[in-house]
Amino acid sequence: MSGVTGPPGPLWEPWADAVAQRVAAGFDRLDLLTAVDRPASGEIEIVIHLVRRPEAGGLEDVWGHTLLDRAAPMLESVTGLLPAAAWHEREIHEMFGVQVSGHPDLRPLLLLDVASPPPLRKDTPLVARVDTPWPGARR
Amino acid sequence: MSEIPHQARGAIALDAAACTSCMLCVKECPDWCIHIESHNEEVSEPGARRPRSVAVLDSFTIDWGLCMYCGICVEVCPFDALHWVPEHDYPAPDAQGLRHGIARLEEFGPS
Repeated sequence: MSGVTGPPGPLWEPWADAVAQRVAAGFDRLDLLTAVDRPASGEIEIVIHLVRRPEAGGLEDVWGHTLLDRAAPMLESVTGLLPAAAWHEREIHEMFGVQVSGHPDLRPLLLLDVASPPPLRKDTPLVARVDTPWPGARR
Repeated sequence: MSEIPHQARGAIALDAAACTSCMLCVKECPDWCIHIESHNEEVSEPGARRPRSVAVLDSFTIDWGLCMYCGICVEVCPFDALHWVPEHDYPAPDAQGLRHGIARLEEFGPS
């Protein structure tokens, strides 16, 4: 797929150190931490958006991303640096099947059955939709 | 508390008389929350060479438990049979109660 890319700039690697660097530079407000499934390249992209408020006023932000192996995705937790990241990492674990190392509590937020295929992977079928006949097929 | 603006998108109301059962809303709905049942009736008019076939709406259901309020059905309806109304307060004790049929959808009133 062309034209679909992550945020510009080099990958943040190693992940937790790269995040720690930005947090130390004052970017300590977590705005977004999520994942993007990229089955075509066999990767799961992790995206983070950090914000800081300079004393002079205004807002400064920084985008970071990294790529994980889709077959066995492993992510270092940054919850120690940014407590707000805890639930985002739980969600990434639950919805994309990413193992998050060093996370204090990876209990699922929504799913009853964590053994089910990760729902936000592109190739996970939506069972309810497969089972439901399309109402538009009538007549 | 301030008034709810009249153009607020609280619910989608139906004008059953304007609906031709064309199924466009059902087909375009991204989460399949609209169901239509209809049948054809032959109408003979004096002077006409042959009877006309007219679609008659039997049931029109919106499942608010599925609806994500995108408004695509309102946009695609060629006959303005669907319109937004500000009413937003229609809870139900169970999921079945969130399936509104013709009578309930007409109760939402005109736009």
